[in-house]
Amino acid sequence: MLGRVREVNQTGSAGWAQFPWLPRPGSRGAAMSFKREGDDSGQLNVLQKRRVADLLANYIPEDEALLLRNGRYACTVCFHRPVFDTLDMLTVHRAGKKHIASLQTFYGKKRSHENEVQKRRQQEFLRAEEAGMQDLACSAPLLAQTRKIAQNALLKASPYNSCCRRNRSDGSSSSIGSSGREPAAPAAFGSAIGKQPAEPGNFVAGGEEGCVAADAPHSMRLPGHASPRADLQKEPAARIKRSSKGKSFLSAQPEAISPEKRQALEHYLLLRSSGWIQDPSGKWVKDENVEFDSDEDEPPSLPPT
Amino acid sequence: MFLYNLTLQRATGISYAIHGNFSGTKQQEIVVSRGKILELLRPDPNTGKVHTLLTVEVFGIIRSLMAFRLTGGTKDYIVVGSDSGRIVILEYQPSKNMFEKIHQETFGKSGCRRIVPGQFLAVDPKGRAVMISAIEKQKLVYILNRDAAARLTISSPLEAHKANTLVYHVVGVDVGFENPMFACLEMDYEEADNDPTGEAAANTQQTLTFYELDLGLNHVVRKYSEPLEEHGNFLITVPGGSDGPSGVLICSENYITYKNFGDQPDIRCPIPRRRNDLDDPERGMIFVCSATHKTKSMFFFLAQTEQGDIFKITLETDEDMVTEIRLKYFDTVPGAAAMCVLKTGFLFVASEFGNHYLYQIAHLGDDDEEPEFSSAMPLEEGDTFFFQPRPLKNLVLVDELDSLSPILFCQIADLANEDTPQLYVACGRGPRSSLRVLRHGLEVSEMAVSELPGNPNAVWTVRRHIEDEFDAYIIVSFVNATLVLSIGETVEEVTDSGFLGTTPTLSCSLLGDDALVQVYPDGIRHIRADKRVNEWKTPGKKTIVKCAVNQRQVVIALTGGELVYFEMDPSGQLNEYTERKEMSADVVCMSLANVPPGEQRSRFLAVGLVDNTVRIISLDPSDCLQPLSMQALPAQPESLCIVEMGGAEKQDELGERSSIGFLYLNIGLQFFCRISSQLELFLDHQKRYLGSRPVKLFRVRMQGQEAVLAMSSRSWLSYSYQSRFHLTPLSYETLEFASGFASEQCPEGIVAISTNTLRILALEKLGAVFNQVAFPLQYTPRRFVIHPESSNLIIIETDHNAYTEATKAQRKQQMAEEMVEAAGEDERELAAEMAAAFLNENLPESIFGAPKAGNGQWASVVRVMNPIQGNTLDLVQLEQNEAAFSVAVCRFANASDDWHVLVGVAKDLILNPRSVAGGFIYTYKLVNNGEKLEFLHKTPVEEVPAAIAPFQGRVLIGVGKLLRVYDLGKKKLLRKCENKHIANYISGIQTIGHRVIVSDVQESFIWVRYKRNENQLIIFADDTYPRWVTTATLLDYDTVAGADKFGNICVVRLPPNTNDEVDEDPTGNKALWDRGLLNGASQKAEVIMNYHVGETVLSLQKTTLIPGGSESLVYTTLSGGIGILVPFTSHEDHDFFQHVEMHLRSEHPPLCGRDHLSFRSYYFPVKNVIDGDLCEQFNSMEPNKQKNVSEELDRTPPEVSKKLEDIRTRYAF
Repeated sequence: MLGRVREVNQTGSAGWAQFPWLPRPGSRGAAMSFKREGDDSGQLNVLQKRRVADLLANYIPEDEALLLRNGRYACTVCFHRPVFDTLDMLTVHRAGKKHIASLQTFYGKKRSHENEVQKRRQQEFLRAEEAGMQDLACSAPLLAQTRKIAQNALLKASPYNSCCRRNRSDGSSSSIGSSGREPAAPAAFGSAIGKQPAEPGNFVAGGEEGCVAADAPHSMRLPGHASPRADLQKEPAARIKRSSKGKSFLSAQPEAISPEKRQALEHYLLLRSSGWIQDPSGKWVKDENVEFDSDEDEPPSLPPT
Repeated sequence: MFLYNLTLQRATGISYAIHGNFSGTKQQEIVVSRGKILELLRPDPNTGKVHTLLTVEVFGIIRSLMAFRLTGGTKDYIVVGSDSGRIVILEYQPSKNMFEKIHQETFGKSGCRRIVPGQFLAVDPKGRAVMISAIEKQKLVYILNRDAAARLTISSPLEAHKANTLVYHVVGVDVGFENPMFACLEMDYEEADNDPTGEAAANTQQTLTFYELDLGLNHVVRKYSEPLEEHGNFLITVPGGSDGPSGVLICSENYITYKNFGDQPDIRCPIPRRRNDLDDPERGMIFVCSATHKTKSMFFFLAQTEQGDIFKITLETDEDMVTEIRLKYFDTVPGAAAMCVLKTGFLFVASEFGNHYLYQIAHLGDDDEEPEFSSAMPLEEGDTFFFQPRPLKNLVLVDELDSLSPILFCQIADLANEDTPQLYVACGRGPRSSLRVLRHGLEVSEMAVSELPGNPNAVWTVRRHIEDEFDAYIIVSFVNATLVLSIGETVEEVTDSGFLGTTPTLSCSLLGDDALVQVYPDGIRHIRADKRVNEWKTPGKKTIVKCAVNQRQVVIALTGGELVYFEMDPSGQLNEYTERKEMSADVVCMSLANVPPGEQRSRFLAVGLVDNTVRIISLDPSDCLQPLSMQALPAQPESLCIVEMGGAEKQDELGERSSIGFLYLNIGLQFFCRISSQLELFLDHQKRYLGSRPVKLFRVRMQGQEAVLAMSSRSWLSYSYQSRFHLTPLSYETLEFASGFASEQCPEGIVAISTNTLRILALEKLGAVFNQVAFPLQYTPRRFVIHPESSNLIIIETDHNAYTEATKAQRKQQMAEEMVEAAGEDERELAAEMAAAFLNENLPESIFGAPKAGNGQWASVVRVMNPIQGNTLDLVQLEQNEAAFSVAVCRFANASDDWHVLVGVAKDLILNPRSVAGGFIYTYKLVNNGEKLEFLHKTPVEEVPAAIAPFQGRVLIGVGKLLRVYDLGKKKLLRKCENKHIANYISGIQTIGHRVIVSDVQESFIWVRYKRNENQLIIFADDTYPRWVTTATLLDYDTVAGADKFGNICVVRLPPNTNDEVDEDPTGNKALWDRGLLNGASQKAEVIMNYHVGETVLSLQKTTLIPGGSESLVYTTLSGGIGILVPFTSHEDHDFFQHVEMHLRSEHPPLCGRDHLSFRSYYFPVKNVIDGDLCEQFNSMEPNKQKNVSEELDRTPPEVSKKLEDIRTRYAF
C-alpha cells in the first residue's frame, strides 16, 4: 500500500519537472514523510538521488538570486529578473535553458567587473604604499571571504539575507537607502556646520558609505561609483568614525577629528535627540511632537571648550 | 547552545493535602501536592516537628489527590488525578522509602482539558469505589476491591457522563455499607446555551445530584437531583452508617446547608461575620476549605472562611434526623488551601500563600464563653450572626514550614559583602508578604553557649559504654591542660574520670565496650571501666605528633614519621604490633575508619604526609602496615577522615556487602576539600573550595548516618539525604573544632569550640538548601530595584482590593461615629466606649487579613529598605486607587550625579472589564546617601506605565502599548520620542547599546533601535511565537532569555545577519511588499531553546551562585521554586546527559503517568534542554535498574551519580 503511494508521488514530481510553471506544493516533505518498507536497492537509490537533489537545490550562490522582502525570490542572473514564489520554483527555473544561457553573460560581465575592481584596488594599494600609510588589518579579502563561506556553511537556514544588501552595494540606491547608522550622522553634521542645508543625498551617501566599507571584502564596486565617494573624501567631516572600518578604502585622511569637532558633533546629536530639528535655513526649531520645559525657547548653545 | 535544568529548591506552595496512615503503621502522615511534586510529611507527635520523608517530582500537574482505605484495611492508598489522562493509585513503601504505582488506568487525552476527568476525585468513605470527574460532562467510577492475595484491584470504568453539565465539586456520601453514593454540585447549561434571549441563563440553577453505584448491577445511575437556592462552592460529607446521620453539607455564599435523602428537611445556617468589619457588608462570605474529625463517639468539622476564621461545625441529631447545625468560632489562622485534622491532635494548615503551619489542638472549644450559633436561632432572611475575632485560644502553633510561594520578584547580588551572593526574594501576598534574604546554608540552632577559662584547642565527646545512647563526657583540650566535663542535667567539671588533666590531649575515644583511651603527646592512657589505668610511654625523646583512634584500634605517629599500631585483644588489653613502620616523611594527619559491625578491625589507615601524598596502609593481620596505595596531591594535606556515607540501603538490596564500596576518604587541603571514594583505587574525586583557612574534618552522625563536618573559614556539612549528597555550609560563625554530641535534649547535635566558648549546636533542617531571613512588608511586593551606591532596595508594593492606611483610618473613624450615632440617648456612653475600643483594637493583619475594599480599589507604597538589617528607611504611601506597577533607579544626563527613582503608577485601574483613568510617573530624588526619597514631580500619562528602564542618560517608559523616551524636566518628565507600533501592552524593557528589547504581554519580544540622529525608535526585528512574556533578561548582544505565564522558558537570538539599520520610511513610498508580513518586523529571531518548567516563572537572572563558579540562568517560580539552567561545556557531557535522560524516560517513567517528553513540551516542543531533575532521579531508582542504565552508558552507577553531582556543584549547590 505504501509502495503504491510512493510511486504515485514520484511520477507526480517528475511531472512537475516537465512543466516548470506549475506550482509544486511542498513536494519534499510529502515524499519524505512515508516510512520505507522493504529494501529494494533500486527504489532506494532513486529516493536517495532525489533527496540529494532536493538538498542541493537550496545551494544557490548568494548573488545569483535575491530574496525579496515579501518572501519571494528573484533570479538575478537572467536580465529580465523573473520572480518566483518558492525556492523550488526558482530551482526549476535555474535548470531551464534560458537561465543557463544568461548564466554565461552574467558571469562574463561579473568577471570583467571583478578584474577591474581588483586592478583598481591594487593601484590604490600601491599608491597608499608610496604615501607610506598602509593599514594591513583590513586588507585580507581572502580571509574575509573564507570566513564568510565558513559562516554560510554553518548556517542552518538558507543563507539569504532578508534585508536586500545587494541594493546597497550597487550604490545606485534612492532615498530609501540606510541612513540610520551612527556614522551617517557626521556626514550630515559636517554640512550643517558649514551652514548648508542638509541634503538628503549627503545623508544617504554617508550611510551607505559606512555599509559598503563594512561589507567591503565581498561586495562589488562598479567603476562608475567610485567618483561620488571620491567627492566624499574631500569632505573632512565625512571621515569621522569611519576610520576604524574603512581605512583601507580611504587611504589619505587625517588620523582623528579634533576635540572641538567631536564636541560639536556630540552637541548636534544631543540637540537632535532632545527634539530639536534644523529647518532648511539651518535654524534650530522645536519638533512639535516632543515636549520641552516651558522656559526652554532656545536650544542650549555649544558649551565652550 | 545546550542547557541543563536543575532545581535548587523545589516549589513550596501546597495545592492539596491529605492525611492518613500511608506507611501502614499507626503513624499519621500527610501527603501534599505542590503542583508537580508529591511529598510525604510526617509530623512527629512528640516534638511537633514536621519531617519530610519523601519528595517525588511527577512531571505532570497534580489536579486532585485523595486518600482511601479498603474496608478493614490499615493502610491508606493515594489516588492521583493528573493531567496525564490516567488515574493512578500509589502506595507508599516505607522499607524502600518510595511511592509505588499500583494501578494506572488510561481513560482520556492528556492535558488539563475541560472534559477529560481528573479535576475532581471522590472516594466512597468505605473505600469501595472512586469517582473521577472532569469539569464538564465526564465522570468515571472505578470499583476498588481485593483479590485473593489481598492485593488492591481496580475495575474497568463505569461511565456516569451527562452532557452540557458543569461540575463544581464531588464527594463520596457516607452511606455505610449500602451501595456507594456520590454527591455532586452540578449545573446544566443546555437550556441557557440554546436560549438566545438570555432569560434561561439568568434562571439556571445549580443542582445537587446523587450518583449511585449499583454494586449488584455494576452500573452507575443518576439517582436524584435537586436545584439549590444558593450557589454552592463545595461539599462536606457527613459521617453515616453507624457513625452519624449521613448526608452532605453544602457550603455556599453566606449559608451552610445540610441535605440528605428521605424526609430529612434542609437545615440552613448563616455563616457568621466579624463584628465591625471594614469589609464591604454586601459582599458574600464563603467557606474555602474544611477538615473533618471523626472518632467512634463523635465527629465535627472545621471550616475556614475566606477571612481565615475557623468555625467548628457540629450537628444535632434526633434519631438519625439532623435538627440543628451549630457553629462556633474556633480560631483564626491564615487562609488555607487545605486543612488536615490528625488523629494525634494536630491541625495541619497548608496556607494558600506563605508559610504552612502545624498547630496542636489544645482545646476543642467546648466549654468557654464563646457564643455558639445555631440554625435553630430565629433570624430574618439576609441577617446573620456576628462574632469577635481574637488571637489563638484553642490552637497552639508547634511548627512552621517555610514557604516562599508566591515569589513575585527576585534579584541575586552580594549586597552584604559576603563572598557568596544572596538571593533577595520578594514573596507573599497582601499583609503576609515579606522580603526574604536567602543564603546557601543550613540553619543552625544554638542549644547552649558557655565560656571556658582560656582558648581550647580541641573537644571530644565519649560515651561510657558502647550500648549507651548518649554521651557521658566532654573532653576539652587546652595548650597545657585537659578539662573533663560530665553530661547530666547540667554540664559540670569532674576529676574522677581517669583522664590525665595536666597535659594537652591529642585524641580520646571509647575503646572496646566500656574502656576509654586518651592519647597525649607523651603516651597513651588506657582507662578500664573499673578505673584501672594502663599507660604506654613514648620511647626516648620522641613525642606523639598525630594519632588515629577508633573503637578497637589506635595508631600513633611519633616525631620523625614512625607509625606505631595498637589493637585491642579479646581480653580488653591494648597490644602493640610487633613492627613499627617508618614513613618517608613527617606525618601531618591520619584517619581510621570506624570498625564495621561484626568485624574485629578496620582494615585501612589513611596517612597524610608532608611530601604532599596520602597513603593507604593496610591493617589486615596478613599484611599489616603494608602500603596499599598512594595518592599525590597538589598541596599538603591538612586533615583526613574516612566515613561511610549513603548506600546503606543499597547494600541490603544487592544482598552482597562490599565493605569498601561506600567508604569515602575526605582530604582537607589548604583551601579545598577533596573527597575520594573507593579507598584502594582512589577512583574519583571532587574538589570544592571551602574557605580561606586550612580545612579540618570531623566525623559526626546526622539522621543515623555518618556525615563529615569540614571547617575552614566557614563550616560545611557533607551528608547524604534522600539519596543525594549534599555539601552545605552552616549559617553560623567560624568554628575551630567539633565533635558529635548526643544527649537527651539534643539527640543529634554537635559540640564545637569557637575562640573561648564551647557551643552545643543542632542542625534540624537537613536537606534545605537555603537558610532564610524574612522582613515583613505591608502589601504584595511587585518589584524592586537596587540602588547601586548604597545597595538599598527600593520596593514597590501594590494590592488590589485593599485600603490605604489613610482610607482605613478614615473608614474606622466613620464606623465609630456611626456606632455612636446609632445608639439611643441612654446608650450613648456605652456606645462611645465601644467605639473607642473598636478604634484601639489592632488585630495583626498578617493573621486576620486586611479588609477587602472591593473591586477597583488599590493601595500602594514605595519603600526604601536596607536589605541587610531589614529596616525601612523611607516609606511613601500613595493615594487610594493609585497602583504602582514599575520602578527604576537611574541618573539623568542633564541632572549631574543625582540618583532618581521613577515609579510608574496606574490610576483607577479596573481589571475586568478593563478600564483605566490614566497613570502617573512619580519622580523622586534619592537623597541622604540613598536613604530618603524627595518628591520632585509627577508626570501624567494616558495608560498604565508598566515598564521603566534607564537608557543613555534618559529613561524608556512603556505606557500601555506606547514606547517612549522621557527626559528629566523641571516640572515633569519630558516626552522626547515615541513608538506606537508595539502590539498590546509593554510588560518589560531591556536595553543594550542602541538596542531596546521590548517584551509585549502577548506578543513576545520586539527589537527596537534608537536612532539618536533622527530621534526615532524603530522596530527592526521580532519573534515568531506569541509568548505571553512575564520576565526577560539579556544573555548577550543578540540573545534574550524570557519566560511566559504558562510556565515556559525560552531563549531567542537574532540571526547573525540581522541588520538593525532598517528604516521606518517616513516618506511612505516604500513598496508595499517590503513592509514585512502582516505588519510584523521584516527580520525574525530564532528560537535557541524552549523548555516547560511547569510553574509560572516571574524572574530570570544570569549570574554566578558560588564564588569561582560559572554563570547560570537562575529562575524563580510563582509556586516558590528556584531553579537554574546551565550550559554544557563539552559535547561529551551533553551527549552523556542526553543518554541518561533518554534511558530514564523509558526505565523510570514519571509517577503519575504523564509522558516526560510531552510534559516538557507542553506549549512548545522542548529544544536543547536536558532535564536534570529527571536525570537526578537516577539516584532513587532501584539498584538493578541503575546498573542496567549505567551499563548502557558504559559506566558504573557510582560514576553516573558522580557526574550528576559534578554538574550540580560546578554551578550551584
